[in-house]
Amino acid sequence: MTENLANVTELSDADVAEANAPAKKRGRKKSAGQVWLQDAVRPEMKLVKRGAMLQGLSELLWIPQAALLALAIAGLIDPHGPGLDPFYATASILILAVIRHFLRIRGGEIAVRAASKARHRLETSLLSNLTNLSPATELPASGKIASIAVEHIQAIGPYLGRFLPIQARLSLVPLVLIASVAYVSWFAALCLLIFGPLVPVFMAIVGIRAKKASDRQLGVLADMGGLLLDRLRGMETLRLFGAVKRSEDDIRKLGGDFRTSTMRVLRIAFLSSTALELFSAAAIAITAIYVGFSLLGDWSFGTYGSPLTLAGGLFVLMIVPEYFAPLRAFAAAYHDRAAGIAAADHIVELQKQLEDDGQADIIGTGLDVVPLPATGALTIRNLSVSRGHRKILADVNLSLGEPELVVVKGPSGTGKSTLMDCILGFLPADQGQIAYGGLPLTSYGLTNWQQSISVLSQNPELFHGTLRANLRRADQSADDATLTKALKLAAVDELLAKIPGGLSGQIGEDGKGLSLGERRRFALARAALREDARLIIADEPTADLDGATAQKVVAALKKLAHNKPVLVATHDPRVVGSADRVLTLKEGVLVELNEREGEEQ
Amino acid sequence: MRSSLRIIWLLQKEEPLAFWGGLFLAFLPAAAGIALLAVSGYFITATAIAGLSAGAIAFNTSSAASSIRLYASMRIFGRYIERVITHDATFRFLANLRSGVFRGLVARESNGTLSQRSATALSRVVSDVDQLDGLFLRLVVPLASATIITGLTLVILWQYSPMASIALGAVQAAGLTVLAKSGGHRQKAQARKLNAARDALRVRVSDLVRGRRDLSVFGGLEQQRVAALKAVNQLDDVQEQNELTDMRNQAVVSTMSQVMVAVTFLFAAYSYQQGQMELKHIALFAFVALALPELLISLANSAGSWSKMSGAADRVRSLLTVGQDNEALQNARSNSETPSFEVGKDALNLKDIHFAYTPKAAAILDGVDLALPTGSRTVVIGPSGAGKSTLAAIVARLQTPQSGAIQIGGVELSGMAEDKLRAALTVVGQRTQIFHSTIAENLRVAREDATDAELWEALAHAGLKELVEGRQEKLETRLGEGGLGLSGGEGRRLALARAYLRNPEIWIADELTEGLDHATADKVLASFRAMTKGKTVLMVSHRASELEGADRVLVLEDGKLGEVNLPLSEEIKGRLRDD
Repeated sequence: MTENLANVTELSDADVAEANAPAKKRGRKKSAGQVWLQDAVRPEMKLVKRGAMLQGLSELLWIPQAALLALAIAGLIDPHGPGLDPFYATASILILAVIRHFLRIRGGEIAVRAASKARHRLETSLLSNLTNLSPATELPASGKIASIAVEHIQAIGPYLGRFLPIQARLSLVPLVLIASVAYVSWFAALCLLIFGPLVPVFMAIVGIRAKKASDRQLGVLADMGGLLLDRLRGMETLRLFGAVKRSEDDIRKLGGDFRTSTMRVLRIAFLSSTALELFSAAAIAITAIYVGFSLLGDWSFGTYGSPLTLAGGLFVLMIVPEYFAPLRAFAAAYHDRAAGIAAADHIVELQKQLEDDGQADIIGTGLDVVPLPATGALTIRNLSVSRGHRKILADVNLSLGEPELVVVKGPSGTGKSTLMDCILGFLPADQGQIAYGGLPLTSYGLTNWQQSISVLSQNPELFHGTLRANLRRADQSADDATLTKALKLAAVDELLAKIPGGLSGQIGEDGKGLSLGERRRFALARAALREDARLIIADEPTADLDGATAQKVVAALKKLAHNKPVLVATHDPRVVGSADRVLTLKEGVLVELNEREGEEQ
Repeated sequence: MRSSLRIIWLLQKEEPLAFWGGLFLAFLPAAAGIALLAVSGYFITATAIAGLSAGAIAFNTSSAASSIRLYASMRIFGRYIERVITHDATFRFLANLRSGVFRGLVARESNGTLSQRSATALSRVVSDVDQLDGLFLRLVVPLASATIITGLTLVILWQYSPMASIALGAVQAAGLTVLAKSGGHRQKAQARKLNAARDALRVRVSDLVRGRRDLSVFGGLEQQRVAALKAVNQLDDVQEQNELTDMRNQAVVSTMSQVMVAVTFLFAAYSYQQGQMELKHIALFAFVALALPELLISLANSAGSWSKMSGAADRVRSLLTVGQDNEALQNARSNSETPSFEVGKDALNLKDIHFAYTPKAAAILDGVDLALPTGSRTVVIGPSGAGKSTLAAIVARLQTPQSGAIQIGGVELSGMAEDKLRAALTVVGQRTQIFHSTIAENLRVAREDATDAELWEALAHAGLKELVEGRQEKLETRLGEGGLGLSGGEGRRLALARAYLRNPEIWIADELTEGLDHATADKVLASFRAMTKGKTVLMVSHRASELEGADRVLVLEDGKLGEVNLPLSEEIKGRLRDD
């Protein structure tokens, strides 16, 4: 459908007029995407232009081919006039055809490869941007970013490799063709000169109306896809209430609405290609009639002195369809432009977000990194963090060194997660310092520090791949026995039986097939696997777990806390109850409670 | 390919007038375009010959000029009407196809063969249907008119010079073969590769974005980037190959037209020199040769998407078949008895139910027996993952057990008519979908003919009345993206209001308060209790607060149901979380 919608705008944009008649520049503002796109493809523009030049040259070789053919035909009909031997003419045309084919393919390859290069460059830089970003950065939904990588950047290929070369050719090829016709007859050239630009003018008039109609129509298209997806997601509910049949009718009815509104646009938009047909057919008809009556001797104007010859007339008639061909190609490739610019708008939007929120390295990645000591204490001194104008953490002090289970409690939104992010090196501190073993975290390098701690996030991710590969992310050298031990510790070993294939079983997109609780327990096993971790951080490890399972998770955390500090953010009383030390975070201030029991609910 | 033909055949059956009319109308302007050039060429040559013989032959200029005008106008208006008619028919057909695909997907879900429910898979189905518009518009129409016109042209030109006609036909056939080859098998493999690369990149990038925290701690960020980069390379490669193929196809058509002109002219000239052809027809051949390849241009432009279309046609067709099978099953069930619920008898009876997700996987339910007397309240508890929700789904015929018998109101579940089952039983729980439409439409999912007053009553019983009354658009308030966002508790209440409109005899509550905070959970439970007074209720839960008022508590463990004595022992209470 998208392609069809593109066809709607195919010829319906006033830009057709801009392209063919640069003198008639419309005062239209370029979108941010358009500006960005011009910049983004600049390195490849030279290649694209070279490709377009070769292809344009190929198209212009039609002039000698047409002349050869016209002379050969005329030679047969009037043996006394100018003529060519049919065999030599055919051979020359075929040789030229081979040259044209070579030029066209070569030019096309240059343009397509240049486009591929640009696309690859943009994809690569998007990926590095995403990798280098601080994980605490707020990003649009992952699906949206994925579709930028998969669809939007890809759409730039046809724009660059197909549309731009055609556009470049359009400014040269028709002019040369008119000049060649003018060599034979100024009248025929005048016809083309008038009809050619009339095409885009009419297209523009039609296009403005079609665009208005299609803006309304876009809403219906979005509704269409949305409705179907919405109903598909809710299939189970629809079945429970016996509403499947009715949904089918809804879908059919909306499809009908879609048809009506699309046809409203198309009926106008098709007029623009009708304009193209009108002028090209009219040009052929007028040229044929003019040439015919000139040859009969009834008309004698439009040439320079001597009357029009048969060869001249045939030549002119053969050039006319070719004169309109680039316009046709332009119209056919027009949706590549629309798609390219729409894609660019999406990309720019994301890029702006990356620039606004993206931060430079928080912890140095320079060369002068110090190896991390095997043991030490994490000390946080006077840490303050704010986001925008809101102060999130104020003057936080904390020391973690001994093996113990430390709980930070407090209602949600008080900065527990921010504190965790700072320790993980995801967020920079406005003031204060986080140090390990007496040296600030910056001295160890971001990657080294992060690889030396272990974490259980609130919404942990398992990645596409086997369960074994997922667990081994924590420790590449772990064997199956070690993995099983960690799974047992996380109270998740009985779940293993449910996964077809056990450790070698595939875990799909989004940890498919596993509930949040199950994912969290697998993630706990993963966190436990990193035995040399200096510190384990867990964010709300028991949320949404049932009683028995939550107890097991707490027991596992307690066990882990026997040989290293474990820092847990939670408001679950059962975790708080098992803690060695309880801290309360209230409005950004961290308070340590000595009378733990008094705070229990 | 067979699927594509099948779908085209369906279109023909559903829209015969537009189908054949569209084809005929597509043929007219294309033929007129060729005739226009041919007659123009013929006209010029004939006038030249007439001019040379200095008026000796009376040449009928007006008839030639008027046929030029006729062909020109046929070309202009015929093309417009043809496009309007074929597009209209296609959209009409797609609207029906879409609902057929929906029916197929629902059928797949109901017989458990829907392999993927992820949003990606579902949106692929949506775009599959959209792909199919090209099948008629960009493949059948141009291909049919190209074939017919080429044939017709050859027949007409045969009488002037058989030799030149053969040359013409041979080159055109060669062009068609090249296009068909490039759109054929190799392309199909290419399209599969493209889809695979796309899916791989999509998964890698979303993993990278969503899992940035875990990846940076567990050291997979760089690996993930490299993996995504690999997918990028593959995608770019295939994409580049596709674009090159498209470009080469177009070049082939263009070159073919030059070859055709040259070769046809040579044979025509030879025929003339052999005295087999009149002089004035020479230009006719040259100009037909010039115009004929135009028919292939639109085919060349769409050749790259043939394999995509045929893949989409395969998937759509198999869904249509499943949908039809399911319809047959529903029809077979439609004469089943109506369940009756009498006090003293079982409203629901399960015997020896066995269930596992796959034949290899461990059994989730391993011989479950359960009888719910009419009007009783039963709660099933058990650790998470024990199969409680599976049990609820089996009772509601959302899952099918491998073996065992289920009776609802004395009627065998497997043979019960869908509407009778849904009138007798409903499920409320965590998986209820809120649709992106108005509150009224969301409620009327349960009962289409419910009046506004009944909707308000249902909302009042579910404790949502105040919320909806506070909105300016009342029942017409839109829900979901861009509209009113419902909290978890409100969504659960909306599900209750839906079920209330349905008012069945058997209510299944599947983790009704899962994910809700204590206070909200209590309110939702209170609404549920009030609604289900006197009904047969099966609750599946791991919370102590849901046990209140139960006649019976059962525990599901190791795939078996066991009775629990009331009041509950401390040991059981400890296993149920209530915070």
